[in-house]
Amino acid sequence: MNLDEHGMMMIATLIYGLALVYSVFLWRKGFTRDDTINVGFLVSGFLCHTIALMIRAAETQRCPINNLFEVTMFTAWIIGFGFIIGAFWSNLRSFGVFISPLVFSLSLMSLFPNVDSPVNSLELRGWFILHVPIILLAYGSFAMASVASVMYLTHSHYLKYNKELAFWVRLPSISRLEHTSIILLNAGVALLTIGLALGFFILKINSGKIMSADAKIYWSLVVWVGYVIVLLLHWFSRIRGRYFACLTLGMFLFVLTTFWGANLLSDIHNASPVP
Amino acid sequence: MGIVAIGMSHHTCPVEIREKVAFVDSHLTDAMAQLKKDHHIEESVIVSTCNRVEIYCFADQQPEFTHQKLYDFIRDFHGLKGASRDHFFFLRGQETLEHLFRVASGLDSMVLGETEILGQLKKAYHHALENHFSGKVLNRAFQNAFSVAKKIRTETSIQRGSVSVGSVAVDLAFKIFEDLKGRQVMVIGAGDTSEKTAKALLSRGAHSIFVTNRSFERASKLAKELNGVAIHFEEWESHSPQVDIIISSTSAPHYVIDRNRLEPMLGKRKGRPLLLVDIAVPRDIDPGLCPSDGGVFSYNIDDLQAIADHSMKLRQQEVDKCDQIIQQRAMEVLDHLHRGQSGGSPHSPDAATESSPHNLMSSPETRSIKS
Repeated sequence: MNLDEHGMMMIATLIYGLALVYSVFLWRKGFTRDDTINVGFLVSGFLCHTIALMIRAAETQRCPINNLFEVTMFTAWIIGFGFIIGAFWSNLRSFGVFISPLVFSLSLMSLFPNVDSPVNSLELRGWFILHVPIILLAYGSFAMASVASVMYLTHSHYLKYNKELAFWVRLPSISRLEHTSIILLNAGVALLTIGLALGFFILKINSGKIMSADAKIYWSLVVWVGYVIVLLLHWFSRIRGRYFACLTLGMFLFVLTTFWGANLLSDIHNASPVP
Repeated sequence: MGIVAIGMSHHTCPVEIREKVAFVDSHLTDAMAQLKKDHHIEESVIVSTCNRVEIYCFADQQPEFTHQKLYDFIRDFHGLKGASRDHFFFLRGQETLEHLFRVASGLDSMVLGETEILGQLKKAYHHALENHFSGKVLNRAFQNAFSVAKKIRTETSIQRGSVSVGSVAVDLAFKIFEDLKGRQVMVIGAGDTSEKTAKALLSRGAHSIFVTNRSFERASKLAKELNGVAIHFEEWESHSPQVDIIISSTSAPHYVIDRNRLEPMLGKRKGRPLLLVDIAVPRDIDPGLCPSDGGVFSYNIDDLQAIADHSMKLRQQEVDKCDQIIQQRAMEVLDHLHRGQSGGSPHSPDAATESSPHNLMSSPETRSIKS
């Protein structure tokens, strides 16, 4: 196996897989066991993942966000980075159990055949370089918010229905999880707003029009409006707790299940192959 | 010669006897001075708490002789004529150290693994140290006791979980609210357990307490004790939207909090979580209302007791592990003390020929409280 970006990504995926297996064990034990091993797997996987990204960036001399392989790899990296920040800065280590399926799936998807298609690097300069990572950061925030929501629902379920086990569960308090979810949603909406504004600006520069009849643009606007509604509902205290967590999770599931479809239907978001 | 201990605890005698031999703080210095001057006890530390009265000593004399002296001293000091030897335990050598380490680690406490005794032990030791009643031997013994207690705390699960209903309720509150700062508590019914639970919540940072009871006088009395606000029983619902934790312990034969009362309350709370702790029998909170209601988390006395019992079971499973640590350390300390004596201790220049770790060990006649 060559230790290029694909090789390193394979190692990272393997380690994320081990984290996933250990997460299933922790889940089955009701989150009552110490999660140091899981954190260790995720940190090791993240290091290999980072090396893979760096190799790719050094090879192409640009930010690795230009085809599906790079976008998927970058999105998984953002989620991993968010976990590292949360785990070591805010002691949210238990996020690891919940993000390991996500980072493993994304890393695995990035390794699918024909995902790493060559792209025309001339199209990937200027404002575009900011537009894509900012949007991906926004989706990373939404992913982390949905993870916090799953944790909220899990912990809340234990506290209501499995009271004895709930006492031993090593998850953050439900208030903290809701608060974390709100912060991540706010950050995600702010980033998505900036990313979309940059997108419209790029469109204006390239075609002279601020809007285009493109599936991905319509889809992005639907996602933006959806998240803004969720935040407004929370802001005006219409939804809190379990309902807020369900809505946050539902929104992300919508993003997850439609993201690739919207990309494939889009004319302007499919980078043209090298002639 | 060697290290010995005499004492009584909740294991060996009832409170009616213990209270007669308890040393008040103001008499401790005098008592230790008497031991040194009149009974030639070179080093002594007196530990006197609500559950135990123990004297740890080091003297250059036979342990049996020291035990008798200490027993006579306690009787004389407190003016007791009929105190039976059966109420006391007498320890020497390694078992003295093992007992001290068990006490420091909370293994000998009424609530297994509790930590309050460690603070009391430290206080007793520092009092003796400051007044020069503790010397090289007891310094080593007590410092090792504190270090063993720390080791046991970090390496075993002897303090895992909560073993009282009040502390379980507090820990559950922390699972719902990140911290208790600014959280408001309401106590419905001025019972003993609700008072203890409310005190535990206050000690962990709860902001303020409303107390309500059918008898306003009792509510006022408890509110004063908790530094809270008493409210009339008819008015508690109007205050409930501000409250985050409700502890209910009335003797009402019907539900005090049911769906009809809770729904308007939840509407005003705007989705904020609400912890309901029902420690009343018969129950005060309708058991059917909570699972379907978003932010409501309800626990009754059986839920809390089951958690407390499980914690206690887990702690009991750790006792053997703790005892191994204690025995190992006691042997090391004893060995060190013996080597110190062999090298010429200030207490006994000739000790090397007179003592060995083996004759510092307990004799068959020595009664141990572990039995």
